[in-house]
Amino acid sequence: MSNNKHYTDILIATDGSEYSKMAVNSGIKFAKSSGAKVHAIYVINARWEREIYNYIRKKGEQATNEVKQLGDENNVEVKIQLLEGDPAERIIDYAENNDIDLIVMGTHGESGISRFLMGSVAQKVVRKSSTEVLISKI
Amino acid sequence: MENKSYDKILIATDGSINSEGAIDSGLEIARLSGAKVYALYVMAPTGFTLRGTQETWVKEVYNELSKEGKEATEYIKQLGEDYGLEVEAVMLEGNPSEMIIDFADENEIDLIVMGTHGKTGLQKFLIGSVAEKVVRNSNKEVLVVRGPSPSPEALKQKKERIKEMVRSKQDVYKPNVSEKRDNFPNVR
Repeated sequence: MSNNKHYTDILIATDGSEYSKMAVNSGIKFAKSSGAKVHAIYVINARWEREIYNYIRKKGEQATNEVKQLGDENNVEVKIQLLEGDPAERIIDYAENNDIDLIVMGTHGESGISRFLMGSVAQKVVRKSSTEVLISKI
Repeated sequence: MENKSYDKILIATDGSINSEGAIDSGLEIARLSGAKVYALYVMAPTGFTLRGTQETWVKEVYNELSKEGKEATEYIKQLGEDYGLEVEAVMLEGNPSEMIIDFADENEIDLIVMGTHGKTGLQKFLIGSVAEKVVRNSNKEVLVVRGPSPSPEALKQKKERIKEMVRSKQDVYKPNVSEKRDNFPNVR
């Protein structure tokens, strides 16, 4: 029996935080069961100064490498990509330009002020992306 | 790595074309993970609480919604069973996002799959307010699948309808100019 939906390319957006860990786990698990390839994305927010930029970039490399490691352990192909700019916009654009079937990202549940800071990227992606979005919870 | 797979997937449908993508994706994920599917339709009691509402009218709306819900959930059940999946059709009554969140909690659902409206000019205000509430307030994983964007033709028709509505309202409420001057003496 065939279905209309197949997952071949999955984007996992990570910011290296605890919130992303669940998303990384879910995304890799998802890719493993569907045989899809993973694009591990970290977006460097464009507004940082040079020194902070280098630090953030390192953090991004670390975060995406963690996805790759988990992928390797599970026989899932992972492509690493560091982008720059507004996180939500870059994620949406990358998904549209790379035939992504599913975006996986994390958010924290309802929790005071952090909801306004962190959830905003996920919320913006859910609201604006024409690609499917899987939101994991911590 | 925590190798938890999905055991129970909830597909929330509103019976419209906006749920089609969610149904496809939800069933595909169920197929991949061997999960049981719950096909849920929530009858929203909008307007039911209006004071003075005719009882017969309420009954009619209720019947209509329950017919739509039955069709929508049976549709998923049949599709799913064609794929060899176990599907349970569920109908609830109440606030959609709250019912979806509660049902997921009570039944230990691993993944909620639901659709949102396609893109329209009003998107910012309307867009899957139900989906957004579920994403925000549920502690479950949520897969949001966007419905199809309306065709340019459909959008044009909608614009015309809105224009027509505004025009008809203007006819009714067009203020008498002299009257307006009297009411607002400072306005020329």
